[in-house]
Amino acid sequence: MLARGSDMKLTHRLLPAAVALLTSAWAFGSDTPTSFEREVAAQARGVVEISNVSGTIDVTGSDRAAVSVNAELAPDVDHVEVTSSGDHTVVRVQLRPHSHDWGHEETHLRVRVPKDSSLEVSGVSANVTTTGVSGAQRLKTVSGDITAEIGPSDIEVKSVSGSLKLRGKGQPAKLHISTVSGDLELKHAAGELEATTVSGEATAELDPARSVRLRSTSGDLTFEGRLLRGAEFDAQTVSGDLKVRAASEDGFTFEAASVTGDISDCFNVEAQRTSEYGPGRKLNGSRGAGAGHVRLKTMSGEIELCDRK
Amino acid sequence: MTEQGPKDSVTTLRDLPQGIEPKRDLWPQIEAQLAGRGVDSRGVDSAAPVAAGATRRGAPAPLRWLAAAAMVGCVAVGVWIGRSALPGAAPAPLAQAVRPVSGTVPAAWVSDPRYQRAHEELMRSLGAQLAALPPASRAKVMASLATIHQAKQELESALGKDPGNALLQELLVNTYQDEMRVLTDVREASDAGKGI
Repeated sequence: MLARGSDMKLTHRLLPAAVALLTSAWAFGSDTPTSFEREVAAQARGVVEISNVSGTIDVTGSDRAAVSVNAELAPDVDHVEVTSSGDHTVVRVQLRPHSHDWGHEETHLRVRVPKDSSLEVSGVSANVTTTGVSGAQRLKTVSGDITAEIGPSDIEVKSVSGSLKLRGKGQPAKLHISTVSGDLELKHAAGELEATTVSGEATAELDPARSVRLRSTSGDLTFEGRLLRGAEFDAQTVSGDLKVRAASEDGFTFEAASVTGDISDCFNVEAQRTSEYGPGRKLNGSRGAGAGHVRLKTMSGEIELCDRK
Repeated sequence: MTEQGPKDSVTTLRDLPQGIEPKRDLWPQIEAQLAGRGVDSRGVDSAAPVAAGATRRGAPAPLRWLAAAAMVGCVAVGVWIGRSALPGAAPAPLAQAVRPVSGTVPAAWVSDPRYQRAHEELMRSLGAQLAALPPASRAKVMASLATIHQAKQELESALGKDPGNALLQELLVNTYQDEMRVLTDVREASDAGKGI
């Protein structure tokens, strides 16, 4: 009896522990996300590299010399690597081998970085958002959308099918943007822009702009802004439309050419046929002092040019 | 000698007389000839070639050149209308010329062995790379590649009709470059999917 009584006591003691163990094992194996937090010291102007396959990556600039990570991890996550060495900090979500199940297992990653850091972010289907980072930014996704606040430093944004929304504060920067099928929306930017897309639509607003190069195959391109003295503006499509509203205090010369599309403008200059018998129209001339240069080319798209915003 | 003195002193075109009046009025004779050959109400004369031939012998050289130029012009316009303006009028040789865009800058560029090697390599691995992408992204990329392919065909077709068109050449070269960029991006994207 005594022995049986002590067994009962032991059972009563171990039971809660066993239940807790079973519950945690069940939780680990289930779809319930696991929380993760980590912080490492980082240099104020260092490089922070962040990657995540699916879910979200939210990056915020802060005044602290540290990189802090807060995440809800998907069940297929093996571990999160957070390391800092010299001026280089890495935050990387590592999946278990053979755990690709696109779009179902989402890890949500929130990272605070020193605001002057240079940022390198890559995701596959993860949506990327950056706010308050004034260092250079290189953002890449495959199908994830990218929403970024543009600081005074250069930014390179690349996506295959994700849509891109970039917002600046009118500070001049160099912007390199490329997408295959995703749309681009760029607002309150300034400086230099080079953007290419295949079938995505691109809308860009730069005030002021020093250099603009836009290219598309079938997507429409729309620009609105102000050109600096001597600015270069070059846009071309194969079948997409081109709409350009570019003010300029010192004016610009313009050359617009289309093989089969129409060309119109807001200053009552008529487009001419390029040849008497063949197809093709062109619109050449100058506005104001003609300090800048605007070149618009398309095969079958329509061109609209205006020298007012 | 004294009569030829002023001609010898001609030093510029301005010194030449602006017009030389014929010594007699030629119109009555021309009118009589036209009336005698039965000009119809449209002004077309069935015997005109003979009469014209007779007249051309005496015509000044510039008129003969003008007539020849007009004929060449008419033939050129006829050929252009036959080749491009009439729907479905493209003959087989033209259709063949459309495909390779022979003799144009893009054709020379595309036949560069380095380009061909790189393009073939990217195309060979494209299927596996597309399979590594998320399904939604894969569908969009395939649609974009189809867009590029169609753009290339349209540009090549337009260049077949107008091989010297610099705008079309530039757009075609850029479209080839865009295709390579997309293929490279897809490769990078599929590598990223494996590597992260």
